[in-house]
Amino acid sequence: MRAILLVSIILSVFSFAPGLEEIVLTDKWEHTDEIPGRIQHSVIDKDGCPVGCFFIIGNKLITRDKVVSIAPWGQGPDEVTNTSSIFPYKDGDLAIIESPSRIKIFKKENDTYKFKKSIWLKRGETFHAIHNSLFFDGKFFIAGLEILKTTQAENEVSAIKVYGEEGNSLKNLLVEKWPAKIFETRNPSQMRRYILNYKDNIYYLIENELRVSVVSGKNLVDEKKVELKKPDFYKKMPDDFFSRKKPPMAPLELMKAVEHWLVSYSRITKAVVEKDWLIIQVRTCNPKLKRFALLFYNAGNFNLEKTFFIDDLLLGSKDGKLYCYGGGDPGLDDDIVKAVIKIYSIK
Amino acid sequence: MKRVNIAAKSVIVLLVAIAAALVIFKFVLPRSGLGPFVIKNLNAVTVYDLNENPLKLIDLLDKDKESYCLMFEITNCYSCIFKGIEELRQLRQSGAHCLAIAVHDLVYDIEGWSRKQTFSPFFVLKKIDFYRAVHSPLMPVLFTLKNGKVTHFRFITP
Repeated sequence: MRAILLVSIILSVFSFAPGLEEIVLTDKWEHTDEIPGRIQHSVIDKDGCPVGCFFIIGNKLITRDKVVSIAPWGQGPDEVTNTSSIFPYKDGDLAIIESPSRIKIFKKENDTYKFKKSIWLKRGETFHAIHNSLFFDGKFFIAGLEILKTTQAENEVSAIKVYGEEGNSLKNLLVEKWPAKIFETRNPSQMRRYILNYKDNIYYLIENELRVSVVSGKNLVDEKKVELKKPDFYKKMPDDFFSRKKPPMAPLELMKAVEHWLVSYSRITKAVVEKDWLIIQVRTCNPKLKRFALLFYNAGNFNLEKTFFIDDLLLGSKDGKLYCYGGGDPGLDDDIVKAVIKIYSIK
Repeated sequence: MKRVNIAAKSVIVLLVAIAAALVIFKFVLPRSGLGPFVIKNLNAVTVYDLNENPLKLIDLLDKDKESYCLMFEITNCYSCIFKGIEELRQLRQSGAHCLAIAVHDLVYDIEGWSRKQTFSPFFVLKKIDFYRAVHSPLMPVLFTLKNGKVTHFRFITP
């Protein structure tokens, strides 16, 4: 009886903790290309190559051998005017959201991406800031901030908008009511959102909070919100982050302020789900530590199991590997010159 | 005798100068400073219907009364496009002649985009034709045309 009890305890422990030991640098791709723009979106494609949208520079595919410009700015079939989000679509294709109302699907051919089709979104009347997206169960889940209704007293906002495969609007999730004056002291539309899929659930995070909102990806209902354990070094972003100052800052002053804010707090720089782990990368903002921390939470119960410190910016994950941009963000961390991709394996 | 010639010539030069000034004020200055929204030569503007057939814009306008046009790009602020389209719908209910023109190079893009809208007809003005024929610092812009002339315009903002 005791033996059965012991075995069941061991099994339950292993079922909750995937058994993480370390992350090991297993590959490094060094390029001579310089990509000085800030990384706004990144994803790992079907062949294990990072695709990123770099501020001003545009969209790049980084393979082992070269850096390729894809979906450049423009109105042509292979071009995109405003890249709001990049994410994997079905059959290994890549989806790029072109604000305000189109998803462009691209197919990979000979180390580049070619336009395949457009999916037009049935838009609402109101403002919708799009930050991150995923395709799951035949539906597009678009994370951002959409103002649904505005009155003098309050705003009704939604964090996730769900579209059908034909671009028809299905549902608004994580709907909240905010005081109307919130926009005077904060600028929540600027906060970067992350949306992830784990089993049948969708996880939603916002860069200034270590909190996961869980929604059912099948039933399209809000499930719960879970406060995540904060590491000791965590430096919380102030509530007036990105706020619109009065009088408004000059454009150059604002750009400098934004860059300062982006590197001065433990904001989430990337979140992925890999091998039953919810992996959240945050800046440490501590000169005694490396530039970033990788927080490994159990994707089922959200316990913080392990923390690793690295200097490289997480771009995405695939097949148990973490793909990182060597040295940090090329638009924010000034010591980066060449494009280097570092690949870590989760052991 | 010479003095008379000089005086006469001076008068002639003065009259020519006044005439030139009048011509400049009447015809040249208005053209270069017509205000923020201008259709330079309406007769030359070609748009495309959603089957890619080229059409003269002037042929799409009402011959007797004002025509209301919304000109926009699909990457403009969506709330502004929405407001413009809603305004066209309301104007049409009031009996106005209305059409919407998207400035874009690919007609099939607009054909796909228009399927999610609640208004028609949409026409497409190619970008190069827009730059050749229209001056508009902002879009969307709602304007009225009557007898081949822009009679009113309004830029739509959030």
